[in-house]
Amino acid sequence: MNGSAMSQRLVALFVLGALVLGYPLLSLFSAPTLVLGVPLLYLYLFGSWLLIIVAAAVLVERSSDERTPPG
Amino acid sequence: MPHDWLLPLASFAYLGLLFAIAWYGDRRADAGRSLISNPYIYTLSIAVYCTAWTFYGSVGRAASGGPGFLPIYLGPTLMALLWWFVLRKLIRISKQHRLTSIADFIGSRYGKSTFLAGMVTLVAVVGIMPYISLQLKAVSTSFNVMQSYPQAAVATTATTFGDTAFYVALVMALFAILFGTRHIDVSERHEGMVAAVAFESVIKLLAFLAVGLFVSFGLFDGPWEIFSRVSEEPSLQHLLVLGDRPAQYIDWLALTFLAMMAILFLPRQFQVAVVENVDEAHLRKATWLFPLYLLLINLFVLPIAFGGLLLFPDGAIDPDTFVLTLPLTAGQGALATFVYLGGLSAATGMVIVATIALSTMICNDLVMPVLLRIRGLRLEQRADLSGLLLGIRRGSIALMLGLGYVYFRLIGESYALVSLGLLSFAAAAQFAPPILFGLYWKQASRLGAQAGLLAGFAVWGYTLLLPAFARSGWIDFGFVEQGLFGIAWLRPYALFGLTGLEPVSHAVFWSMLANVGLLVGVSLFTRQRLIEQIQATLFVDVFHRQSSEAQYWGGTARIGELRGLLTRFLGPERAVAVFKRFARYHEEALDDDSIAVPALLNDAERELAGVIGAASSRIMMASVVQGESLSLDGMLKILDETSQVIEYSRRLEQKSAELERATDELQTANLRLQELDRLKDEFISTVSHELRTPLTSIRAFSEILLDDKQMPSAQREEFLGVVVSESERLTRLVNQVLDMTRMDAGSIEWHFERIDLAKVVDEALRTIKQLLAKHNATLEWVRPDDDVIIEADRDRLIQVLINLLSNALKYTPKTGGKVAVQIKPGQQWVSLTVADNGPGIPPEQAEQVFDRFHQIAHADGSKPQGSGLGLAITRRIVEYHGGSIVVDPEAVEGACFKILLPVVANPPPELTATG
Repeated sequence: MNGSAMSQRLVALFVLGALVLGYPLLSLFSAPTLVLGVPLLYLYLFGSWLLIIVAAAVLVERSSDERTPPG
Repeated sequence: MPHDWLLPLASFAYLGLLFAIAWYGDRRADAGRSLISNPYIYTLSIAVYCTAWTFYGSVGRAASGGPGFLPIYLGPTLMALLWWFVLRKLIRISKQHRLTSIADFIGSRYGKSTFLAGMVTLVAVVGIMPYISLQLKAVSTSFNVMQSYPQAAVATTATTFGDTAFYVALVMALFAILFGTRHIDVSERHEGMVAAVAFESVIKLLAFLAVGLFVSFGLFDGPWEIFSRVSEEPSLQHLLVLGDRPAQYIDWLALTFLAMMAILFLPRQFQVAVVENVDEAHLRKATWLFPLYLLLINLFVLPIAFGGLLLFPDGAIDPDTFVLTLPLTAGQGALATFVYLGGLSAATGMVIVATIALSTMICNDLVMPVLLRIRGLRLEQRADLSGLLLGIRRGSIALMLGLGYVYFRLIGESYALVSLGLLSFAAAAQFAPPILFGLYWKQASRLGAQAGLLAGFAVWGYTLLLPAFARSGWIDFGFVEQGLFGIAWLRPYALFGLTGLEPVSHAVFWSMLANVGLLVGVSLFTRQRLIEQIQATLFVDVFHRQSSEAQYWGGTARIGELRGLLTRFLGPERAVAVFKRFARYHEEALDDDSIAVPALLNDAERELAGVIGAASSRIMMASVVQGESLSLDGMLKILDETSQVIEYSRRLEQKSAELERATDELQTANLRLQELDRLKDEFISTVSHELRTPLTSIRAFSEILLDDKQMPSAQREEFLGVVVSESERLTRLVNQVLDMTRMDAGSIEWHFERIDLAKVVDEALRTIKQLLAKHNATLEWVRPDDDVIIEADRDRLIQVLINLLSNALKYTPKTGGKVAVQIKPGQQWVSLTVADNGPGIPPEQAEQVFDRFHQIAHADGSKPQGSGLGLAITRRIVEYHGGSIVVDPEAVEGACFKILLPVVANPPPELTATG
């Protein structure tokens, strides 16, 4: 995968992240309830934050593996 | 704290450690073994984003507004995803043009505008100053908290010399001066500083995680307990949600946007992410490592904030200080000290990078352009200006910290940490439109950028900075509540009656509207100057071009003057290095008196730009370059977007022209083949015809002889004679046809040797003697005195002569026939003529006689004897000898054939030498 394809996937992830971390999706989770002992809103925010990081890591690291073929 | 002296000691010991790390980093860099050239250090250096504001302020903000602190970190997380797209372009451009600050970048993009760069610098200085004072305030506050515990921290009333913040500012200035302005560097990279900042990022993360773990698991039974107790507390429940008003989501959005812009366009972020970047590839890892860093440092913000609120319900403790007061209350002095050092790290890292970045901008884009314009200073005649440059930078670092300290003493006390930080964020966001539009939109013009920046800055000042002044009592606060001159729609927090938003969101909306609106609007209605168009193209198309293409200096400058210029600014050593590198790369000798090639001018401008900024560099270059400063060629190459398309179509045209030529050639060849085919058919039919004539006569006479037994012997002999002569003719014809075809096929064997042409003629004449007598003709033979040496095949030449002579005899009159042979030697050619006194050759047939089977009829219409191949063969032979044969048009009577043959050059020189 070349840099341009990676760049496009990252931009797509950005759009997805902006949706997930913004209005109105955010308002769906704005309730004072605890899930797994953590407030729902914080669980949602930190959870999606972590998922975005993992997705970005997978995109970037996989593409750099492909860039330098083994051997 | 048990010992008053312990904390200052720890502080300065820690700062000493930073000095050591920075010193080691610089030493490694000098040795060529970079300490910072890896994505991890790069990521940690970008984490300078997390300042004391993060360290103390996030908890404070969470304690009062719940999730409201998160957009400051979610924004950069999202932006990091775009780094490969945006930041990589920034880095590539900055490396290519040696841009060393955000002011330089914007100025350079819009036609190397000094004015615009200066404006950016001013905005940056005014906008970042509160941020620097915020860091000093954080250090001072945290120090006081540590010292005065268990009493609540009292507001600083100490004198300047008794104030910790003052000494911290001094040490930071010292650090920035030592490691930020060590020497004038063409790339403005400071490896030691970056190493120290990266180390600080580690410390602040560890400190925050430590206090978070302690609060969560030491003071409580895990964060779950904290959350469940908060959710049962009615007064705290609002902290768990975002609220219902859509305006709150607009605030959320505005903060996210501000943080996204800040992570790229705060001068210190530009410094670490772009200027200090070692390798573009480091961006890959930073894309996910930096968000991970942000996530980790925020993980315990909520437990700490909520834990603090639960433990200090009366609000006596400032939530900004929870990270210190919570461990202190529990008697964990050591942990509190570690946390204090983490906060110190966060503050010092930011201040050091920010002052270094700003000092470069102040020096290159504010002070130097002014100094260079003041003719009275005669700056361009000083021998070495690098000392002056360093002096200006060091001075501006000291000034920045001094101003920051004054600002902190005057205004800082009245403000929460977070408001001051957002003030700076909103200022830095003003750089986003000129940079982002400048990166992707070529038409964005200098006037547009200036108008937009000016308007955005004005709105920012009016809606955020002035109210901040008002709050600290410098201006009457009534101006905030009633509006300027009491005009309600000019209220700075509700401009044009827009209410319901937080002041920051409100300011972001109006300033961005003004900034982007004017940038786009003015750009659409103004024309760019040439240099703007060039720079715009170079910036926008940076990935589609070679860096060597960015050459457009067209004037001339003496290399000596250029060398002088570089020496003044770079110092002699670096100037020499620049010229050496160029000479080696281009394999050119660089005499002081010769004229610099455009490539050298561009190199020099780039090097200079690294030291004094793109705009000043251009001014200085213009002072040594004479004549047209832009080369038409270079400009067209850069500007012509379609040049590649044209090149492509030009190649296509070439290809199609080649194809056409090939088709033409094929057609010609085809025509020639058809002609040859026709000739062959003709040849065969002619040959058959010529063969049939003698055959018919042989057959007729043979039949007569066979039928008539009583024929008188005289008649019989006569008939037999005819048969014999016809057979001979037949044989001759067949021989000549064979000769002809062999010559055509090239299968004939030639025996070239040096011979005397006169002797060849003698021999031919001997052969023809009898024929001559038979025709009653006389011979006139003009023989040259000297030998006429030519290179030729003797037998073939004799064949030629016999052909010509017998031809001539054929046409001579029955009586009084005359044949003349003459040799006229010349320098290069020898001419041989064979003439007769026959009827001659009509001029229109002068060429046709050499065609196959062409025969000139006798005057009585009868055909002459012969095959009609003789002259064709003759011409072939002569041409094979490199000569020519024509019918001499100047012949007075009869026909005259003229042969020209090349003479062999003079005998070899050694013969003349010995003879």
